[in-house]
Amino acid sequence: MTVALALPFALLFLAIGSHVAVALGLVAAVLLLWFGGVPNTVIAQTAFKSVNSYALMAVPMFVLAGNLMMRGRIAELMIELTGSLVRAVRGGLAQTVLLTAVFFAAISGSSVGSAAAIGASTVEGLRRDNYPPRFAAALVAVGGTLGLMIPPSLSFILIGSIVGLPVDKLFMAGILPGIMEACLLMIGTYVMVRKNGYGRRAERPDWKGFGQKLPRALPALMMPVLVLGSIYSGFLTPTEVSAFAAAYAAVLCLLVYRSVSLRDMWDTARVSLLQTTMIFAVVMGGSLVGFVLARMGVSAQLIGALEAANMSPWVFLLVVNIALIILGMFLDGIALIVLTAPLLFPAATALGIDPIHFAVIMVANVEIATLTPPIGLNLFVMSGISKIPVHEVARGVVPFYGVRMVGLALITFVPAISLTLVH
Amino acid sequence: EDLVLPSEVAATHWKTDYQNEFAQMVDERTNGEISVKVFPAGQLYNEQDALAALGTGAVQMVWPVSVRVESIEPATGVINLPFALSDEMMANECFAKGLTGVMSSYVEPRGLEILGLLRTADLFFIFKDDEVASMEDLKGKKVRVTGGRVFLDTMDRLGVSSVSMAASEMSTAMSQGAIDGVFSSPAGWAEMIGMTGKYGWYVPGFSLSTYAVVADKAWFDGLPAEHQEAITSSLDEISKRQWIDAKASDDAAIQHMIGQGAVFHVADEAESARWRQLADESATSFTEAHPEVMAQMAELETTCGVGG
Amino acid sequence: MLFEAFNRGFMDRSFFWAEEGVRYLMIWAFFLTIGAAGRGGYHIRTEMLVDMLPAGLRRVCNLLASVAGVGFSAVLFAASLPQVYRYYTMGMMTESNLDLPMWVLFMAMPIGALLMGGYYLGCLIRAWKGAEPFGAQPGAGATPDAAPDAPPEPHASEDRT
Ligand code: NA
Ligand code: NA
Repeated sequence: MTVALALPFALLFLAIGSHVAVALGLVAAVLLLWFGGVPNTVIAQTAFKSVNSYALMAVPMFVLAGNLMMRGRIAELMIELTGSLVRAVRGGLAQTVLLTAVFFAAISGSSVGSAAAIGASTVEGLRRDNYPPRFAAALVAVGGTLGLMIPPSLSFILIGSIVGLPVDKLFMAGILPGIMEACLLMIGTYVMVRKNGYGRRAERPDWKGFGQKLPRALPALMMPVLVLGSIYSGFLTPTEVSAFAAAYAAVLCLLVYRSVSLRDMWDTARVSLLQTTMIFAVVMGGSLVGFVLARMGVSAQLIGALEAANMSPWVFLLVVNIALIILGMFLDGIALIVLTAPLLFPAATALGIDPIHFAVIMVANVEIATLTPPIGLNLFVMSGISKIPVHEVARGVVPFYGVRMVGLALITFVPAISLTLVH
Repeated sequence: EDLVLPSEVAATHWKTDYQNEFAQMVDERTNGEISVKVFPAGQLYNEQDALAALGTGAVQMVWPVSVRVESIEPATGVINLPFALSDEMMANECFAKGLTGVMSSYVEPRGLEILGLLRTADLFFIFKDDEVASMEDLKGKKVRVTGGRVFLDTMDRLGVSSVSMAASEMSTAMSQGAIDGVFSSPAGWAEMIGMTGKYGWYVPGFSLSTYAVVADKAWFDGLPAEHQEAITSSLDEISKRQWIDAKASDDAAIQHMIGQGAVFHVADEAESARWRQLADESATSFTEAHPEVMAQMAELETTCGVGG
Repeated sequence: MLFEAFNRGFMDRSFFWAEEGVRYLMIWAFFLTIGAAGRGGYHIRTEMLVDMLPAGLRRVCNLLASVAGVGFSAVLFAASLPQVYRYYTMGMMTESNLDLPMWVLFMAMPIGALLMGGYYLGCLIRAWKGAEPFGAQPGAGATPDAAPDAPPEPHASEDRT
């Protein structure tokens, strides 16, 4: 009951523009102190414990790696390389952007990072190639979300550290769904381009140009191979991989491409630290909410209610997807995970749903949440880069929602896509 | 009055069963005046944090692995020394009670009290490809272990390289060859590792680990005598039975693995003697640092007529 | 971490303290930079609704949101001090052979809460004066202005509608 009263308060604080971490943390803390009969040191320990996690230590390094690759203009390199071949299909530049998104997804842990990296160097080009600005911004916004599904992924790290699942297995589970989503996006884009006559006509592939550009791009191309390879082989833990990725990105940008100066490097490290602090702060606030839910028995009540309702796993997943899509409109991805994971994972497990499969479903929803107004980080980022209003970007994304729903349905109801590589 | 008892093991783990049983017994013996609230699966706290919360009023009791108490008072590490305990010694009531008292005396100045000791497991080595049957076979092996300072030192002397790794990762790491083996419990072998680790190597008593029942001393001392009695008598009853049950289920888990085709070697008398000697050597830094607790242990063994 | 992996992979040695050391450094870095992240405009919030309000109401919202920040900092500060004290009386050490007293590690929280409280008090004052309290402040952290090449950070998400 008290929890039900607290929810409007939390939403009120969010609505009046409180920082997400503060809104979550304060409401949870007040609830615990006044109604929960909990000594205040519990709040301190819960807040402290939430950031005292080995899995979370991968966050700063993956953020740094992504920011360095972004600063180092690696995206342009990739676009030139793939563009020289992909121009052989109608709307080749749009497909090139998606392929670059896949490349970035495999080195960057965040969706915003991917979108920002690709967007900065493609939006202008897309417009020159006869794509409407709205479509161009939407394409990059949607492609960027692949960064959350294809490992490394901050979403999986957060879920792993909150729920206590092995991050390496979660990363593995994201590979096939990520590739499937990328394929669906390419098909969807192809159809849209054909129907609306966007982009240039097909040209002959430029094999010579490709051959000339390949050696220069090779060190960057090696990065996803090394990152995924070392996770997959189990040679490094995900946290160690994050340090490796950051080091590799630094070498690439500082020494190989010389696209980043030492001063830039320092700036990027600062920005990465502060972005990490932002993420940790939301994790801390969310962990207090998760603690309230557990302490007041909300999780147990939910499981009890599910058992009483005799709900089948499929119905449960359907309901969860709808709820996450609605919540995801108003929450950003990190807040969505920290708020719902402590509640939903025990319920899903009680119904016999594989937690790793459920994690992939949750990430697919987080991808959608970054694209849905009013709060969608990728919409904001692309609005900033392409200098068009947020609602215009959102309108551009509308046709892609259909593609995303197909992907979500496949991921939800075909567990094998998530679990084949894991078990 | 609430007795908050958090734990980090799953609700289905046997420790939770005993905690629920404890809750019921205390409830009956105090006519519901003390209500034991069990929070399993880290719902409230993991055990290290719960230990730190004893004395703040948030938590009244925790049953952590005894190793965790070392982080508060290193001298309590005496029961985690290799061969410090055996199932026979703990079956002796005089020794079991005396040991609990000695342990407790070291944490009481810190505002804590130890009310009992439960059997966790007698740990042993499990390897993927190596049929280990003596000390020498261990040299150069990469083994996943969990903390314990004296234990780590012993591993060093054996030429084993100790690897720290989450329990959830150890099976994968072993199957992929990142580590050669793990040091784990019979239950861990049967449930988490399975036939990925085909070879077991067991030196009885080398690492018989315990759960310590730790309570907030100020809180406990403030209880009426009959409530204190209800708590201690319930714990005494449970720990005596638990020690026997736990041993039996460990034996069953090992038999289960052998039935699946696992190879299980147990150190004989001569080999065990060598292990004892090595363990004594690696414990010197401990025994030199904490002579008083070593003397108390020796005295206890003599008084109760066990071990040696 | 790399060092540990290197040692595990190539030198058959692993250091328990490496993992913990990195973790503790990060914890300190986090608590000490919550306020700085605020000044750099990095914390996420929803400004869309507030921006649609008339100036008077917007000021009320900004004041309330700042007070919430001060309140949360105060809760964290008040809650962490007794725990620091209990760690001190209990004498608990960190788990690895770093042998660091827990109370030293935990001090990050009250100190961080103070810095955070200072930041939100600043927000409160700015809100009182009718200014926008949460935006990136000049000279605080590498903002997009300081780095013209970098695309906007998530915080630079003023609604452009
Ligand atoms: Na990624
Ligand atoms: Na959204």
